[in-house]
Amino acid sequence: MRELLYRFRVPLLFVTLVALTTATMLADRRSLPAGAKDLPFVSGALLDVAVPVQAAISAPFDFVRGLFRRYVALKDLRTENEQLRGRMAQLEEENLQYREALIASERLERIDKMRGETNLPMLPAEVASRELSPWYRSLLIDRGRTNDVHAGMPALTEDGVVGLVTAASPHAARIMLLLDRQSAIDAMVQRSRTRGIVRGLGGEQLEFEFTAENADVQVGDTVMTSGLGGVYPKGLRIGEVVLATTGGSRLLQHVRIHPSVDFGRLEQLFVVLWRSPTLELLSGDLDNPAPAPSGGAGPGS
Amino acid sequence: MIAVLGLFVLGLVAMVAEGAATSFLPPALCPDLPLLLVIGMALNLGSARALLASAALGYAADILSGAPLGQHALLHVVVFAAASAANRSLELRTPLAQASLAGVLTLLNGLLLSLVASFLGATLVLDFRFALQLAAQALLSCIFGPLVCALVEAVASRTREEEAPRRSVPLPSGRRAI
Repeated sequence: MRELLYRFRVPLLFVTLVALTTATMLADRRSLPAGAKDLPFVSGALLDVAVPVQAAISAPFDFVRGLFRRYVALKDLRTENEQLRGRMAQLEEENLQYREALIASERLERIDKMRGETNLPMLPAEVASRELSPWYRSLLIDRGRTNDVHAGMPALTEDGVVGLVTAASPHAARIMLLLDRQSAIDAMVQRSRTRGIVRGLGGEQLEFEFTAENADVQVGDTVMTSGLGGVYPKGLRIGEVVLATTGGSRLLQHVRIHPSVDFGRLEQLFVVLWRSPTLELLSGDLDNPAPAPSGGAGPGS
Repeated sequence: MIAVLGLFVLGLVAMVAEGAATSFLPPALCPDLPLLLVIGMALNLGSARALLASAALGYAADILSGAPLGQHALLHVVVFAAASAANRSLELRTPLAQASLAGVLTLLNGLLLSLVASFLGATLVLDFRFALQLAAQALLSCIFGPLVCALVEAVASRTREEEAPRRSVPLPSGRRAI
């Protein structure tokens, strides 16, 4: 009998195991609806051992996975960074446009104020090019005779006098800037009404000439057109006194003016569609004179 | 005995490692190493101890996986028996034959697992996704089966060599000498 059992031990064990596993499976299945149950000692011990072992085995996997995730995250971060950079550039561009609009709005306000003060017909013009020669301070604008722009017409901005139209073609005109050495304007100090001639020096400043030694000119005074030269209307801002010295053997004061117009950033200006009668007479165009000022600031003579 | 014990411990470690690997790889791409170990033991050991170890591995798998206690054990016993039967009637020494057997038994194991689970109340899902998963598992078993069989064979032969001097030798006189 024992030998028989030994001989068929494997088939018997197989049958026993099948029966045992089926029984445990069914028992376990039956106990499942009853709810959670504590594991027996052996099963619990297996779980207790498995958890730290699994954690130890998982550690390198987790490390590699963490590295991979970090790499992916970095990659995503880089993509996101690029997107954000693009967005930032777009927002900066928008911001720039808004600031431009704000500046333009402020400028329009000043232009409106200037036009209210001068009360002369004006034509806006874009600066096409500037300083074509190193010896002359001039610029070209995109308006010409077809726009009623003629030589002898003053050009100005909301900040003050720019210069004088010295030549005009049908579609363009050249403007001699205040800074040019050929430029001379009859002007006066706004505060003390001291008169003189503002002359260009070819640089960034102007000279206020023929000012008597005892004349009341101070640094910070505003200098404006007097209207007596017959070229510029009265009351246009020229600049501010930055230097006023007396003494020595000279009978006249040495006065320097900083122009109120920033010529370096000049993009747009206004041509005053008006010429003095003297210039009209000299040009022989008396039949078609430019409109005269209707009030407010206007030519002094 | 030592070989079976060692393989059982190896099976436990493989099971735990597999559980860790599933956090890194999709479960369908992880080979069922304990099952392959059972097949390897059936082919190379084929003893009652190996059958017991297979059942014990199945119980461990049930405990760790949350399956009804005995489900994997029953299937391991069935797979062990099937592999032993195949080994008796077929020539399974070549890797190709072992790979084929491992693939077929993996398919059988998967189908039986599904059927037993449905018998115990789980929903029986025999759709394309299940078929695909089963096919992937069978393919992995084909790849890893011969390797595991070679490992089991190496462990078995090593322990056999170590145990050989200690085995009893039958003497002509009828007495047994150690």
